[in-house]
Amino acid sequence: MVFKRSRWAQVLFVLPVIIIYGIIIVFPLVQGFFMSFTVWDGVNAAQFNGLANYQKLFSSPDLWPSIRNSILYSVFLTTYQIGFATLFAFILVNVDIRMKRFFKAAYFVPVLLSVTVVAQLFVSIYHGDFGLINKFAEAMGWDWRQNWLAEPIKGILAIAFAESWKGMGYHMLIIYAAMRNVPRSYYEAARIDGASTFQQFRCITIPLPKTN
Amino acid sequence: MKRLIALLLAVCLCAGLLAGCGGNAPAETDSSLAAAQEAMTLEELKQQTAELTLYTYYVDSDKEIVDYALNEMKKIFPNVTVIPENRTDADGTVLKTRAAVGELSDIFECPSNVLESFATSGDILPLDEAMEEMDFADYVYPTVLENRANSDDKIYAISALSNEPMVFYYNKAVFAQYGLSEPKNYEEFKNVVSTLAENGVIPLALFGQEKWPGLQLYDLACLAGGSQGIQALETGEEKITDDAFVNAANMLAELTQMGLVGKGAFSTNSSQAFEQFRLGQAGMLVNGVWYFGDALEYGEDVGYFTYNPFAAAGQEEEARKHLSGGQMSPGGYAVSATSDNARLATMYMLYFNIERAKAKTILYGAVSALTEDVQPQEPRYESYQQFADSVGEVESYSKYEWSLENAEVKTALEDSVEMLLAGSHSPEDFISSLDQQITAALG
Repeated sequence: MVFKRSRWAQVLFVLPVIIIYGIIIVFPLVQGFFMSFTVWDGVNAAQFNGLANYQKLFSSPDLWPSIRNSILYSVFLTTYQIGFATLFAFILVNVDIRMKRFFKAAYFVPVLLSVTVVAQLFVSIYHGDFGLINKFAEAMGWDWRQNWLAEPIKGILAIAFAESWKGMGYHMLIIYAAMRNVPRSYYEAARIDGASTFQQFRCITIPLPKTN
Repeated sequence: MKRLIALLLAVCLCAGLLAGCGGNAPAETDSSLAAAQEAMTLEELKQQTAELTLYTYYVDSDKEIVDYALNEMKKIFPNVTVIPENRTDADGTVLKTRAAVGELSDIFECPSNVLESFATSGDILPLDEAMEEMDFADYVYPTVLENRANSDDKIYAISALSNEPMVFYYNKAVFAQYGLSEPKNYEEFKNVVSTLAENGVIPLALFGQEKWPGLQLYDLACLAGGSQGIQALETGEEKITDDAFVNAANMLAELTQMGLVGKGAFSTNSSQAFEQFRLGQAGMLVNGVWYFGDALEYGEDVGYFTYNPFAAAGQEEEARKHLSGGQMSPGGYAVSATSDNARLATMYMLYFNIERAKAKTILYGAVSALTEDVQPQEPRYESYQQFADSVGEVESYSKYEWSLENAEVKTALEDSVEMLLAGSHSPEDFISSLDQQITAALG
């Protein structure tokens, strides 16, 4: 047999990943789709019940709040993580501050924490009766105690903040690495041409790392 | 040559991936052993040597109780070794997974909400014949056997514990500090709640991370209005728009406005709630009667409401006879149909039930439902003894929410009550939302 070297090698080396992806991602998705047309108690054989599950879904009073919460969560998460990651990476790259290594490590530490630890931490911060925020307000004599986790909008934003805080460091490091690869000469040329810091940020720092 | 090596490496990688995909073959029972055990008398069976697995709550006080019972079981089944495994789920999710892969323990605690599924699939064994063979009914009060049968009139799981209703506990020291006494009706209860709230004490330490305490609180309020409680909603005997349920929602909404539960109630777990109650940061706590045993170390400071705090004035004596939770249901210890020692495991389980019930009374003073006179090794503290003495006055027990059989009704109730107690739902929203959901769930 004559192998077309590059094609067969490509196929064979990609095959394990495709198999993993298929088993872990694709197969459950497809199976889940077909199961959505059945009623199943988890033990006995599934019984086909047509679109009944979808009818229940679309008539459920929880559907639109769920969609709203998902959108709020995603928008907050993305804005916070990418926004602050970009800002902090820019500062670390372009501003001459001391203890840069410390700050890089400090921002990355939350990424290493387990989800359980972060959840317990923020429950202690957000707890309506004994949480850090409300207790601080009480200590300052402010009559401003919030039910952080029990109100519809506040709750989802509070949870989104916890996840944002945890994951921001990861994005910051990636953006930092990309910013570091932008040649300094571009900034020097921009400064010579009279570009302000903001203009350098908008015209060099943001677009060029995207191409790296 | 390089191509050949690359090809071999890729094939090895794929083979390594797929090698782990062969799941365990479904457990096959040792039919010869099972047949031999079927032919044995009960006394012969007791002398058999075997190793059994037991899936049950096995931490904290439960561990002590199970160990005590297993030790006593050595006197009945001297050659049987039991390997306990801690139960990690309350709703049967883990059990379903294990049943799917054929890895159910020989003996396991089976909640009522999955019992029907297991009975239909043949994963558990009926117990009627075994119970008759060892005269199980002679060991327990008749109430233990109420409502145990499944839809096919067979018993698949059993527990020898007595009814364990929900109890409204209060911190005696906190009540004494603010000049409060046990409320007998709703007006007195409102006074208790407002007094505690005004003095910076959380009136009720609700562990809202779990949904059942809030829902059981609602059930208690419904019982005060003369209804059968939330269980009547899933059978269709009563409707959420009936007066008892509407009044209960109004009461809970009013109490929520008064600050009945702390702001952090829904991020509070049971351990935190118990600490709040013990330390006097909260004045009251709702939990099952088993909490009397958990509170042994500080039991002298624990009292309980002998009256339903939601009862209207003049209805106190009638309302106190109907307790929330604790109704016997088809749940308890079951035996796996795929056990190699099915008959032995069945008999062992039945005797273990008796010993476990004894252990719970001896070690933690639980009210006994056994015909044998079993006494706690330490005298019960005052309120606990008072409760034990009052059991005979109870006329009915409603279901705990985990015994509800219609999952959609249960979920709708859990979520709606949570929102009512969080102040996110008005009583009108609560009733209309539930009316819609329960109607859809019941078809």
